[in-house]
Amino acid sequence: MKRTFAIVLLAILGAVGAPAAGGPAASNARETLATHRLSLLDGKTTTLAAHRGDVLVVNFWASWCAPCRHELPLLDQWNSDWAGRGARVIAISIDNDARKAKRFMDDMELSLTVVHDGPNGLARSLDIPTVPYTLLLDREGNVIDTVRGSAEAEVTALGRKVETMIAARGAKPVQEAGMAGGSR
Amino acid sequence: MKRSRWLWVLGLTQLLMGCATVRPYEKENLADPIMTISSDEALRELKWLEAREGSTGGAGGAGGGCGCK
Repeated sequence: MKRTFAIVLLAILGAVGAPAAGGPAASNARETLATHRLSLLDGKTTTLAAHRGDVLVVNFWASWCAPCRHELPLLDQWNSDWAGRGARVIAISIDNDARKAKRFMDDMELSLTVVHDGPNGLARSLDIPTVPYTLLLDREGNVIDTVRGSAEAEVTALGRKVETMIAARGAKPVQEAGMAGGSR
Repeated sequence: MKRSRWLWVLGLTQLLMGCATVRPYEKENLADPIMTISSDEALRELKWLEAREGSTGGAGGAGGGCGCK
Protein backbone atom coordinates (compact mmCIF):
# COMPACT_ATOMS: atom_id res chain seq x y z
CA MET A 1 0.00 0.00 0.00
CA LYS A 2 2.85 2.33 0.89
CA ARG A 3 4.37 1.59 -2.46
CA THR A 4 1.13 2.43 -4.29
CA PHE A 5 0.91 5.65 -2.34
CA ALA A 6 4.48 6.62 -3.26
CA ILE A 7 3.90 5.85 -6.94
CA VAL A 8 0.70 7.89 -7.06
CA LEU A 9 2.40 10.80 -5.28
CA LEU A 10 5.37 10.76 -7.66
CA ALA A 11 3.09 10.54 -10.68
CA ILE A 12 1.10 13.57 -9.53
CA LEU A 13 4.21 15.57 -8.77
CA GLY A 14 5.71 14.65 -12.11
CA ALA A 15 2.59 15.49 -14.07
CA VAL A 16 1.92 18.80 -12.36
CA GLY A 17 5.47 20.00 -11.87
CA ALA A 18 6.93 19.16 -15.24
CA PRO A 19 7.55 22.31 -17.27
CA ALA A 20 6.12 22.41 -20.75
CA ALA A 21 8.55 21.32 -23.40
CA GLY A 22 9.62 24.33 -25.44
CA GLY A 23 9.93 25.17 -29.06
CA PRO A 24 9.34 23.54 -32.39
CA ALA A 25 11.90 21.37 -34.08
CA ALA A 26 14.85 23.36 -35.38
CA SER A 27 14.09 22.26 -38.92
CA ASN A 28 10.77 24.12 -38.78
CA ALA A 29 12.31 27.32 -37.42
CA ARG A 30 13.77 28.45 -40.74
CA GLU A 31 10.47 28.04 -42.57
CA THR A 32 8.48 29.65 -39.76
CA LEU A 33 10.83 32.63 -39.65
CA ALA A 34 10.72 33.08 -43.41
CA THR A 35 6.99 32.91 -43.98
CA HIS A 36 5.40 34.38 -40.85
CA ARG A 37 3.63 37.64 -41.67
CA LEU A 38 4.78 40.58 -39.57
CA SER A 39 2.94 43.89 -39.21
CA LEU A 40 4.88 47.05 -39.85
CA LEU A 41 3.95 49.97 -37.63
CA ASP A 42 2.39 51.79 -40.61
CA GLY A 43 -0.13 48.98 -41.06
CA LYS A 44 1.54 47.16 -43.95
CA THR A 45 2.83 43.61 -43.60
CA THR A 46 6.09 41.95 -44.49
CA THR A 47 8.00 38.70 -44.03
CA LEU A 48 11.62 38.04 -43.24
CA ALA A 49 11.85 36.22 -46.57
CA ALA A 50 11.29 39.58 -48.26
CA HIS A 51 14.70 40.62 -46.96
CA ARG A 52 16.50 37.53 -48.18
CA GLY A 53 19.80 38.47 -49.73
CA ASP A 54 20.68 40.63 -46.74
CA VAL A 55 22.29 39.50 -43.54
CA LEU A 56 19.58 39.98 -40.92
CA VAL A 57 19.84 40.63 -37.22
CA VAL A 58 16.38 39.82 -35.86
CA ASN A 59 15.75 41.14 -32.37
CA PHE A 60 12.73 40.19 -30.26
CA TRP A 61 11.96 43.02 -27.84
CA ALA A 62 9.18 44.60 -25.81
CA SER A 63 8.64 48.09 -24.46
CA TRP A 64 8.18 46.58 -20.97
CA CYS A 65 11.60 44.92 -21.10
CA ALA A 66 14.33 47.12 -19.59
CA PRO A 67 17.31 45.31 -21.18
CA CYS A 68 15.60 45.64 -24.57
CA ARG A 69 15.24 49.39 -24.12
CA HIS A 70 18.92 49.55 -23.25
CA GLU A 71 19.96 47.46 -26.24
CA LEU A 72 17.85 48.94 -29.03
CA PRO A 73 19.83 52.19 -29.53
CA LEU A 74 22.93 50.07 -30.29
CA LEU A 75 20.97 47.96 -32.78
CA ASP A 76 19.64 51.17 -34.34
CA GLN A 77 23.21 52.42 -34.70
CA TRP A 78 24.23 49.15 -36.36
CA ASN A 79 21.31 49.40 -38.75
CA SER A 80 22.43 52.90 -39.80
CA ASP A 81 26.05 51.77 -40.17
CA TRP A 82 25.08 48.81 -42.32
CA ALA A 83 22.64 50.66 -44.58
CA GLY A 84 23.38 49.84 -48.22
CA ARG A 85 26.03 47.28 -47.23
CA GLY A 86 23.85 44.18 -47.29
CA ALA A 87 22.90 43.88 -43.65
CA ARG A 88 20.06 45.21 -41.56
CA VAL A 89 18.38 44.93 -38.19
CA ILE A 90 14.71 44.01 -37.83
CA ALA A 91 13.21 44.54 -34.39
CA ILE A 92 10.14 42.44 -33.63
CA SER A 93 7.97 43.89 -30.88
CA ILE A 94 6.16 41.35 -28.74
CA ASP A 95 4.09 43.95 -26.91
CA ASN A 96 0.40 43.16 -26.70
CA ASP A 97 -0.39 46.57 -28.12
CA ALA A 98 1.40 47.89 -31.22
CA ARG A 99 0.84 51.45 -29.99
CA LYS A 100 3.27 50.84 -27.12
CA ALA A 101 5.97 49.84 -29.60
CA LYS A 102 5.20 52.87 -31.77
CA ARG A 103 5.30 55.23 -28.80
CA PHE A 104 8.61 53.81 -27.66
CA MET A 105 10.17 54.12 -31.12
CA ASP A 106 8.99 57.71 -31.43
CA ASP A 107 10.25 58.62 -27.96
CA MET A 108 13.66 57.10 -28.64
CA GLU A 109 13.78 58.45 -32.21
CA LEU A 110 14.91 55.09 -33.56
CA SER A 111 14.96 54.50 -37.30
CA LEU A 112 15.45 50.75 -37.65
CA THR A 113 12.72 48.57 -39.12
CA VAL A 114 10.25 47.68 -36.38
CA VAL A 115 7.48 45.15 -36.81
CA HIS A 116 4.80 44.25 -34.32
CA ASP A 117 3.96 40.61 -33.79
CA GLY A 118 2.66 40.34 -30.24
CA PRO A 119 3.46 37.60 -27.74
CA ASN A 120 1.54 34.91 -29.61
CA GLY A 121 3.23 35.15 -32.98
CA LEU A 122 6.77 34.18 -33.85
CA ALA A 123 7.84 34.44 -30.22
CA ARG A 124 5.47 31.63 -29.31
CA SER A 125 6.07 29.63 -32.48
CA LEU A 126 9.81 29.64 -31.78
CA ASP A 127 9.28 29.55 -28.02
CA ILE A 128 12.00 32.13 -27.53
CA PRO A 129 13.90 31.44 -24.30
CA THR A 130 14.54 35.05 -23.24
CA VAL A 131 13.50 38.62 -23.95
CA PRO A 132 15.42 40.16 -25.61
CA TYR A 133 16.42 37.38 -27.98
CA THR A 134 18.50 38.04 -31.05
CA LEU A 135 18.99 35.87 -34.11
CA LEU A 136 21.56 36.25 -36.85
CA LEU A 137 20.31 35.07 -40.23
CA ASP A 138 22.59 34.63 -43.21
CA ARG A 139 21.63 35.76 -46.70
CA GLU A 140 19.71 32.56 -47.31
CA GLY A 141 17.65 32.85 -44.14
CA ASN A 142 19.52 30.27 -42.08
CA VAL A 143 19.87 30.98 -38.37
CA ILE A 144 23.61 30.97 -37.78
CA ASP A 145 23.82 32.53 -34.34
CA THR A 146 21.61 33.51 -31.42
CA VAL A 147 22.07 35.74 -28.39
CA ARG A 148 20.00 35.11 -25.27
CA GLY A 149 19.45 38.28 -23.32
CA SER A 150 21.49 41.42 -23.75
CA ALA A 151 24.95 40.51 -22.44
CA GLU A 152 27.17 43.20 -23.91
CA ALA A 153 30.01 40.88 -24.90
CA GLU A 154 27.72 38.54 -26.81
CA VAL A 155 25.84 41.33 -28.55
CA THR A 156 29.11 43.00 -29.56
CA ALA A 157 30.44 39.68 -30.85
CA LEU A 158 27.29 39.33 -32.97
CA GLY A 159 27.92 42.77 -34.46
CA ARG A 160 31.50 41.81 -35.29
CA LYS A 161 30.28 38.64 -36.96
CA VAL A 162 27.97 40.67 -39.20
CA GLU A 163 30.84 43.01 -40.08
CA THR A 164 32.89 39.97 -41.05
CA MET A 165 30.08 38.69 -43.24
CA ILE A 166 29.73 42.08 -44.91
CA ALA A 167 33.47 42.26 -45.49
CA ALA A 168 33.59 38.72 -46.87
CA ARG A 169 30.86 39.50 -49.34
CA GLY A 170 32.63 42.69 -50.38
CA ALA A 171 35.79 40.72 -51.05
CA LYS A 172 33.99 38.32 -53.40
CA PRO A 173 31.84 40.48 -55.70
CA VAL A 174 32.00 37.86 -58.49
CA GLN A 175 30.09 35.35 -56.37
CA GLU A 176 27.25 37.69 -55.54
CA ALA A 177 25.00 36.58 -58.38
CA GLY A 178 22.40 34.05 -57.34
CA MET A 179 22.68 34.77 -53.60
CA ALA A 180 24.64 31.55 -53.23
CA GLY A 181 27.79 33.22 -52.04
CA GLY A 182 26.62 33.95 -48.49
CA SER A 183 29.57 33.54 -46.21
CA ARG A 184 29.38 32.28 -42.66
CA MET B 1 -4.34 7.22 8.96
CA LYS B 2 -4.65 6.11 5.36
CA ARG B 3 -7.45 8.54 4.71
CA SER B 4 -5.48 11.49 6.05
CA ARG B 5 -2.56 10.51 3.89
CA TRP B 6 -4.73 10.60 0.75
CA LEU B 7 -6.20 13.90 1.85
CA TRP B 8 -2.66 15.27 2.01
CA VAL B 9 -2.05 14.12 -1.56
CA LEU B 10 -5.31 15.70 -2.68
CA GLY B 11 -4.45 18.96 -0.95
CA LEU B 12 -0.96 19.00 -2.39
CA THR B 13 -2.33 18.34 -5.85
CA GLN B 14 -4.77 21.21 -5.50
CA LEU B 15 -1.95 23.51 -4.46
CA LEU B 16 0.31 22.49 -7.32
CA MET B 17 -2.48 22.87 -9.86
CA GLY B 18 -2.13 26.60 -9.29
CA CYS B 19 1.45 26.59 -10.59
CA ALA B 20 2.11 27.58 -14.18
CA THR B 21 5.19 28.07 -16.27
CA VAL B 22 5.25 31.61 -17.64
CA ARG B 23 7.31 31.93 -20.78
CA PRO B 24 9.48 35.05 -21.19
CA TYR B 25 7.24 36.50 -23.91
CA GLU B 26 4.16 36.19 -21.67
CA LYS B 27 5.46 38.48 -18.95
CA GLU B 28 4.00 41.80 -20.06
CA ASN B 29 1.44 41.90 -17.27
CA LEU B 30 3.95 40.64 -14.71
CA ALA B 31 6.34 43.42 -15.78
CA ASP B 32 3.69 46.06 -15.11
CA PRO B 33 4.90 48.52 -12.43
CA ILE B 34 1.75 47.76 -10.43
CA MET B 35 3.17 44.29 -9.79
CA THR B 36 6.17 45.56 -7.86
CA ILE B 37 5.94 45.39 -4.10
CA SER B 38 7.24 48.93 -3.75
CA SER B 39 5.01 50.44 -6.43
CA ASP B 40 3.45 53.80 -5.78
CA GLU B 41 0.55 53.54 -3.34
CA ALA B 42 -1.48 56.13 -5.24
CA LEU B 43 -1.12 54.05 -8.41
CA ARG B 44 -2.23 50.94 -6.56
CA GLU B 45 -5.23 52.78 -5.16
CA LEU B 46 -6.16 54.05 -8.62
CA LYS B 47 -5.91 50.52 -9.96
CA TRP B 48 -8.36 49.02 -7.50
CA LEU B 49 -10.63 52.05 -7.77
CA GLU B 50 -10.80 51.55 -11.54
CA ALA B 51 -11.50 47.86 -11.04
CA ARG B 52 -14.24 48.57 -8.49
CA GLU B 53 -15.91 51.30 -10.51
CA GLY B 54 -15.54 49.55 -13.84
CA SER B 55 -13.97 52.58 -15.45
CA THR B 56 -10.48 53.41 -16.60
CA GLY B 57 -8.83 56.77 -16.95
CA GLY B 58 -10.31 60.12 -16.16
CA ALA B 59 -8.62 60.20 -12.77
CA GLY B 60 -9.51 63.48 -11.12
CA GLY B 61 -12.29 64.17 -13.58
CA ALA B 62 -15.80 62.99 -14.26
CA GLY B 63 -16.63 59.36 -14.97
CA GLY B 64 -18.43 56.75 -13.05
CA GLY B 65 -18.58 53.26 -14.46
CA CYS B 66 -21.53 53.82 -16.76
CA GLY B 67 -19.31 53.46 -19.80
CA CYS B 68 -19.93 57.06 -20.85
CA LYS B 69 -17.18 59.64 -21.12
